Parts: sequence; C-alpha cells; structure tokens
Amino acid sequence: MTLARAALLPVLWVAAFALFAWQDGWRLALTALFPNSRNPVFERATLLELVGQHLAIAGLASVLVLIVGLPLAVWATRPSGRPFLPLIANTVSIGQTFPPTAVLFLMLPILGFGAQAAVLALFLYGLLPTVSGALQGLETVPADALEAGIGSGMSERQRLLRLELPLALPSLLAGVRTTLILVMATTTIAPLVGTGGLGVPIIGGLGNDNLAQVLQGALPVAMLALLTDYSMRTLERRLTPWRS
Amino acid sequence: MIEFIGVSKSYNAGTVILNDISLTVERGELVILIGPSGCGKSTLLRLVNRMIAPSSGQILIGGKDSALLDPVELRRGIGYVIQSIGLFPHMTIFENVEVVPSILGTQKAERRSRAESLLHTVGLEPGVYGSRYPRALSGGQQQRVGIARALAADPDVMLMDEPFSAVDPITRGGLQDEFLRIKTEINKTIVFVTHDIDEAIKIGDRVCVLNAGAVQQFDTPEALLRAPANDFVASFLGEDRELKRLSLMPVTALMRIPPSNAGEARGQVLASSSARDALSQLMGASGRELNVMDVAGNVIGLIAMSDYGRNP
Ligand SMILES: Nc1ncnc2c1ncn2[C@@H]1O[C@H](COP(=O)(O)OP(=O)(O)O)[C@@H](O)[C@H]1O
Ligand SMILES: [Mg+2]
Repeated sequence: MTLARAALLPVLWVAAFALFAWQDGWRLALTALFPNSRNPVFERATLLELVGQHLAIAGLASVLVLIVGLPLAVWATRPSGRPFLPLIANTVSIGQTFPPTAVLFLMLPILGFGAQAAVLALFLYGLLPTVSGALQGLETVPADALEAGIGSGMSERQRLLRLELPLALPSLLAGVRTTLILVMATTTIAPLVGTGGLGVPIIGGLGNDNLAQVLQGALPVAMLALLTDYSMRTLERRLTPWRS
Repeated sequence: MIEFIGVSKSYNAGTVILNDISLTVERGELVILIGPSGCGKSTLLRLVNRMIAPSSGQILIGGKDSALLDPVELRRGIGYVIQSIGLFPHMTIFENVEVVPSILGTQKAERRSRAESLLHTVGLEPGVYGSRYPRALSGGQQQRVGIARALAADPDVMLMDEPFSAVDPITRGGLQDEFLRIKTEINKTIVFVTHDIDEAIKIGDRVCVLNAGAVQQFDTPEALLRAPANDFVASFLGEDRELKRLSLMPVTALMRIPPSNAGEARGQVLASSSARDALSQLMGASGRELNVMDVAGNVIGLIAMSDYGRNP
C-alpha cells in the first residue's frame, strides 16, 4: 500500500512531463475542442519550454523562501531573536495582504522589468505560509517533551535538532506545501513584468480572446499544483511516521 | 550524596515556595518527598538538576556546589523522570530510551542492547514495544519507558517525580514491587516525589514530609509512624498509622517462642507475613492464637491479640 504509493509518485511526474512534451497531442486536442480558433496552440515556444520557464521561476522563488524563511523562524524562537518575533510575524503577514499583482508592480521601479522582479515578488508573497507554519510548529512543541530534553542534558543545539525541528515538522511542512502551491499558481502572472512561463499563453490568450491558449497554459499549471500538493503530502507522511 | 543547605525559592516577592530547607540525602539512599499538592515537592526536586535555580542557599552534589557545575554536564549525570512523563513523541521507544547514551556518543549496538535490557527491567518486552511510538502505549507503559530512559546512562543520582501516578492502584502496587527489586540491583541515590503516603512508607528509606515550603519531619517510615513530629504529620499519616506501622513490621518481631504446647492444632500464619496481615488473620480466627510457620512448615512461634499490646 505505502510502497504502491511511493512508486506512484515518480510515475505521475513522468506521465505529466510526457504529456507536456507531446506538442502534437495538444495541437490535435485543442484543434478538436476549438474548431473555430485560428491558432489554438501557442507557437512561439513549445509547451515543454513554457513549463521549464515556469518551474525555474517558481522553483527559484520557493528555494529563496526556504533559505530565508526557515532560519528566520528558527532565529525568532531562540532567546536572541525572540524580541523580534512579533515584528517578523507581522511583517511577513503584511507581505501577503498585498495582492500579488500589486507586489509585482511595486517591484518594477526597484528591479525593473524581468525575471528578478518576478522572483522577488513571488518570494515575498510566498514567505508567509512557510514562516508562520514553522513558527507555529516551533512554538507548539510539547512542553513536557522539552522539559524532558533539558533534563536529559541536551544542549540548546541538540534540543533544536533532535526535538524542536522534528516535532515542528508537521506544521512546518504544511506551511512549505502552501508556499509551493501558492508560488506555483502565482507565477502565472509573472509575464506581466516581462518574463516567461505558463502565464504567457494565458495572459496572451485572455488579451486575444483565445480560450484555447488560455486552456493550454492553465491546465499544466493546475496539474503542476496538484502534483506538488500530492508530493508534499507524501513527503509529510514519510517524514512524520509517528503521527498516524 | 545530595545536600540542601538553607535553600529558599520564591518566584516574586511575597510568595515563598520553599523556605530555608536543609536536608541531606545519603549516597545510595532512597528519599521520598511527600506533601500536599503545591507544597513544593517538584520545585525541591528540580533544584537538584538545575531545572530551576534557588533564590538563596546552596545545593551540593557529591560535595560540589551545583551552581558551579555546567548544567548540561550535571544533568547528563542525573536521571530525571518528569511528572508529566514527557516521552519524545517522534521517537520510537528504543530511541527514547537511547537518547542520553546517544548524546553522550555511545555506539549504536551498545545503546540498543542496553535499551533492550532496561525495557526488560521495567517489564516491557523490547521485541513488542521497542519499535512502537509512545502514542501506542498506555499511560502506565509510558511511565515505565520514562524510567528506563532515565536509567539509560547509568547515572549515580535519580530524580523521580510521581513516576507511578499514571497507573491504576493495582498496577501501581506491581510497579512498586518491581521498583523495589530494581532499586536493590541499581544501587543509586534516589529522590522520589509522591503524594501517596502508602507508597512512601513502602519504598522509602527515609521520608521527608513537606508542607507550605518547609520540612515538617524527615525520618525513616517507622520513626515517622511511631512518633509524628506535629499535628500536620500525624494527620497526613492518617488515623490508621499504627496499622501502617504494623505493615512495616514482620510478624516474627511480635511472636512468642513456642512453649511445650507447640504443634497443637491452630490456625497458621507464614513467618514472612507482616504483623498487620497476621492481625487481620487473628481477627478472622476470633482472636485465637496462631502458629507462625517457616517455609519448611515448622512452627517457629505463636502470635495472639495480646502480643500486639506490647508493641515496641
Ligand atoms: N514558574 C512558576 N512561577 C510561579 N509559581 C510557581 C512556578 N512553578 C511552581 N510555582 C508554584 O510553586 C508551588 C509549588 O509547586 P510544585 O513544586 O510544583 O508543587 P508540588 O508539591 O505539587 O510538586 C505551587 O504553588 C506552584 O503554583
Ligand atoms: Mg509536583
């Protein structure tokens, strides 16, 4: 059962990429679905190229979130960083109250047109779920387990690595999952500041009333988001076998 | 050896939790801290491994001022069983027991065999329970794991805070018997908190009765029951304290050596019985004399109601 589940995951990812790579298949299907459309398929780049661009932008922003967000949450729950905990929690949630398009355009004067602006905006936008998930996990480590850890003679570092982080994992990973999906979906508006990705046929299609191209971009985004969600849930179960 | 010298603890001016406590726990001794809820038992215990610091006074461990020792090093040499059990939920039972040896850098194979033997000692089959997570164990089983975990690095000193509180009275009796057996095997200095006076009398070498942050009496269970120092101790011990004292005494301490009429048909009581159990049997036998028998079935004495009057 769990073995079948573990094997299913790579199969699903390979199947999804095979589907993205099958340009002729998309042409056939979209032509059949939209017989009146003059160009139902986006032709300036292959779908696989668009997926690649999309994943590069979303991946970079997500990695930045992890690199910055997780240490930030750990620091905010250590004695040295605790005074900054409210500040960090509030700042990060303000970052998310802006609509992503607004964040994107606010970045324009600073970073100009291009991928950097998109990645930075997505990074700011994706920071909240990871930071707040990690904070919540670290703040709700059972007090009795911590007491036992201190009483066993664990150093602060050992407590963090052996108790606090593992016990924070359920909440932390749920936060990371939300970030990944949020960033994956929001990368769709990155073309507004002049980058590529699956948003290109969507935004272009919306402008030209070309529903076929909108669908060609939107379907892969949805697939990627669902696969990410499923992969993260599998990882969560794998890393926290003690919960079930 | 653990020495408290004029130790006081207060959290803020006005509320004194512990007031000028001085007492000594000898090496290899099991001292019970007992008293009503909130009287400061856990606080006194937690001062030993520096989970908290005293407001004034000193605590010497093996003659050294604990305030001058590195707290992390100090705690690694002291087994600590916390009141709320506090198993690590994300670790298997084996991993829980192996925590201290693993932070001390003991090899994996050595740790595992030690954990297996400790789980046996506390009455849990390692093959059955070792790979489980804590949530799959009952409260009483978790408490046993907590004890095994505290024993894992073979510390000289053990601090045990109500370690049998989560089990029903019957299981608790069994655990206490097991603990008495383990205690003779491990030979450690133990400070043991309980609020159960019967438990204190049964397992303590000496019992320290606390109330309102002060030591009321610190003596052997027998001396405590024979001569309570004040009304508080007397009422804490209960109206049946003479009976409790009899439960500490073997029937052989009260019996008379049989005269010529030995062997006459009478009721019997085993020499290993307590004076209290013998009294109970005497009452059942309408007060008639009983023969005290050794394991080989020989009559070694006689006991009657009248023998209880000259109770030393
Ligand atoms: N961190 C703390 N701050 C203030 N009061 C405390 C703290 N810890 C314990 N106390 C108080 O100290 C008293 C003794 O507590 P404790 O030693 O846990 O009692 P017990 O004898 O039941 O183990 C209680 O009245 C408790 O409320
Ligand atoms: Mg207590």
